[in-house]
Amino acid sequence: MWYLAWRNTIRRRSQSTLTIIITGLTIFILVMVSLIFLMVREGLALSAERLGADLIVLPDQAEADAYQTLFTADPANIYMPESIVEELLKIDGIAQASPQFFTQTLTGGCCSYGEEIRLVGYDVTTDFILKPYFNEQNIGVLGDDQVVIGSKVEARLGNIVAILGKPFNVVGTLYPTGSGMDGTIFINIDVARKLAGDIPELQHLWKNAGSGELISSILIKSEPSVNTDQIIEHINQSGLNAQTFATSETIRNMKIQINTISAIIFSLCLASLLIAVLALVGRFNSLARERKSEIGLLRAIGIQKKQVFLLIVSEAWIMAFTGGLAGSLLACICITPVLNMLENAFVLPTGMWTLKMALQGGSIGIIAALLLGSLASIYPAWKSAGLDPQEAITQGALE
Amino acid sequence: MEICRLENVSKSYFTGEKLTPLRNVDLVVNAGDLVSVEGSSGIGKSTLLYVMGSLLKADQGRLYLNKKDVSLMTDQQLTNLRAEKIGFIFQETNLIQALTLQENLEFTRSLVKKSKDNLGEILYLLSRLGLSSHKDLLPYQLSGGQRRRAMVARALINRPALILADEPTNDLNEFWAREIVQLFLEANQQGSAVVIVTHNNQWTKEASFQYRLEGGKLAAVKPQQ
Repeated sequence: MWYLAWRNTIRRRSQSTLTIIITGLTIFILVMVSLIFLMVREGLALSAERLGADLIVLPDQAEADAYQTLFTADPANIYMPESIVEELLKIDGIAQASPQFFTQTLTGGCCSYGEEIRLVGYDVTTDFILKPYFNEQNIGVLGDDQVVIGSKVEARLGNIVAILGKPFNVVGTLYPTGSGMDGTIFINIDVARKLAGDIPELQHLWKNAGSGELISSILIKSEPSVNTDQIIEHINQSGLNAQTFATSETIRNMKIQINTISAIIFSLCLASLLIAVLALVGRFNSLARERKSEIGLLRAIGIQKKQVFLLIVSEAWIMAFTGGLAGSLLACICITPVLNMLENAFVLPTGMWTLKMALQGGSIGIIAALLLGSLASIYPAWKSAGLDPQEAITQGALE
Repeated sequence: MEICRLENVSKSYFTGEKLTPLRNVDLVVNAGDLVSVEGSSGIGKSTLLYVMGSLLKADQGRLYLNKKDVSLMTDQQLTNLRAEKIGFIFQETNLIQALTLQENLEFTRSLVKKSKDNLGEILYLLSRLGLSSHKDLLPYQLSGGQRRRAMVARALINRPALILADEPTNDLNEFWAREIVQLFLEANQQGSAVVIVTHNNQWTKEASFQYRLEGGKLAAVKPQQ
């Protein structure tokens, strides 16, 4: 019966192709949305797991954005005096505080990057965020001409990158984290400050900043069993020109936003699935009508009702499987450019694209396609199986 | 040996007005019989075959196939009975469109005999019906006459006990019409019963029993002994 179903599918090439396209497009949308959801969820989980800081302190400026700082590698030129670190360490409950200095590469020029990349200067003496990564990969303390790059940053000219016209040796590449770290270049904080100080476009920032060293953020590790809300309250009451975010709260808020958007998108996906089911029911119904005479013949020569039912459903499964496979593959191919577009448009941690995820997406697609095919074909198959053989032969011949 | 028996069978249709193509019909078909039923077009000859083949339920009366009352059989049992015991040749050419000629026969054969040693019989029948060189063609690639011969091959492939042929010589020239009647006679010799309905009595002279259907009544032209 499978062979007959296969041959029927092949013979009605244009009709089968149309059915496969409808299924394929529906599954493409479903898998794409599912993969984006899976990857963003994983990105959030990875960000939470690997961040290592309980609080993040940013300058009290409109441009300072905790989401952007945590989840993206977008360059940000936000600054506050380094003296804030000492003030913070006086507050009870803060175990560690490590400043970072943000700047960026510039586009254009020999060997430079085609886009601006976030450059993070970290403080070797107080850092507790990067140290575990560096230790895992046997990266020691960075020299003044050394950098470590995130997994998405490409090294140029072998192991050398040119940043703002100066060559640096790449001494390590961090493994993918699914967070903003992947698109960041890490450098010694003093070197970063010096580099930024030489950028003509940023001179106005240094003039407004006043005397003393500048930093962009402070990552804080709280004492165990201390409520981070109390620390935030203390920082806010201390009158420092800084805003403090609980990373867990930021991640939680992001999750809520993503869940809300996902619910809307999944509803639209379900609506498209429903439309596809209705379209396919129409297709299988008309296919069954066209083949009335043949179905009558099959019943006359000894095919049981349940075999006719299985024949129609099998044909639907063959087309649905093919469409599902094509849609899933297409979604897996398109996911990276689509995610890049989304990353550019929204603040999104997009996790890592792995084989496991491709398999998950493919499985979702194929299972959904088979369900789609089953739902769409059950009624036409049941109707065909119940046809009276004589009526089917004579009416089918007339039609 | 009795293969098929109709007892007091009536069948009516409502198509605006009431039509009764079969009215209290009695008929017995035994193994080895070649029965012909003549009658003008639209008189109900095909209805008679559909009833005999258990594809259409009579409004009244009983049908026995292999001495079993079909009204007492489930749909599944009836379907199995059709596969094993009955070979149909329909008036309209009707083949499985997605399968080649040879595959059509293989498929029909596989419904009864699962083994794969059927090829010899299939090729023999195709050869007898002049279809050897067309065995790999799909039905739409055949002419009307070739399709008709293919339906005859399909009806014979399982060596059924009862062959029901509705206008089997339509679309055929004299040579192939004669060959088909010859195949029916050979089937008779092997124990199959053949019932031919036709409006053309040119090929029914070979029949052991000839009937005429008129006004719903089946009258013997060449009566049973």
